[in-house]
Amino acid sequence: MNSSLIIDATDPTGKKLQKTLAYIHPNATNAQLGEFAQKLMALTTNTYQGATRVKREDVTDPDYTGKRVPTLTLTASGSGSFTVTYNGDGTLHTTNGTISGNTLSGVTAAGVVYAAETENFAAAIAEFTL
Amino acid sequence: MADKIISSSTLNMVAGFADGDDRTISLENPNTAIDLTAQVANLGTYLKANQIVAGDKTGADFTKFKSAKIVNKTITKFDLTGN
Repeated sequence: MNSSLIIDATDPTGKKLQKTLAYIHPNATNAQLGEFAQKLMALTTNTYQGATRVKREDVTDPDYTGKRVPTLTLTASGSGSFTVTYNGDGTLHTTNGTISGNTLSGVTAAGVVYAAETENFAAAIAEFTL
Repeated sequence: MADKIISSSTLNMVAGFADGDDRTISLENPNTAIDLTAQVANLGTYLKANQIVAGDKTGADFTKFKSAKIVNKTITKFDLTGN
């Protein structure tokens, strides 16, 4: 949570001016801030017009915990191991295998990227967190 | 065109906090007709009793105004027409 204070005033020539203080204590009350704004303007020849408190709250969305970038290493019998990665773009990536449905094969093929038909597998992998 | 002189004045108050952090509050057009030294001291007492301005870290209370200065700025714009 972050609070700032904007003070509206006019200078001795009647020109409007605004003063922003970004380092306001979050626990300060509105009444305290209003009083403080007037006390500050009392040190000047400006005329106090009003004040605004700006309160900003940043809350992490509990339904979205960020993009997952899992990496899964599988060992296929007789074929050695290969790596499948999913970066949340709807496409599974593997550098040394082929993905078809829920089946991985062709571990000798290099640099192949596969897409939507691997949806089930993608969902399973998306649950896998690093 | 002729040379132009623009003058302005600012009151710079350096607020000190418990964690050693400083913040400067600058106010344009300080009122030199009043006793500013006493007024800044009063404001410091008020801020210590009412924590309104905050330091960088939570719990870093305002402790005192370390200094207050009036800075008079004069900007001269020289007309170079004909130079």
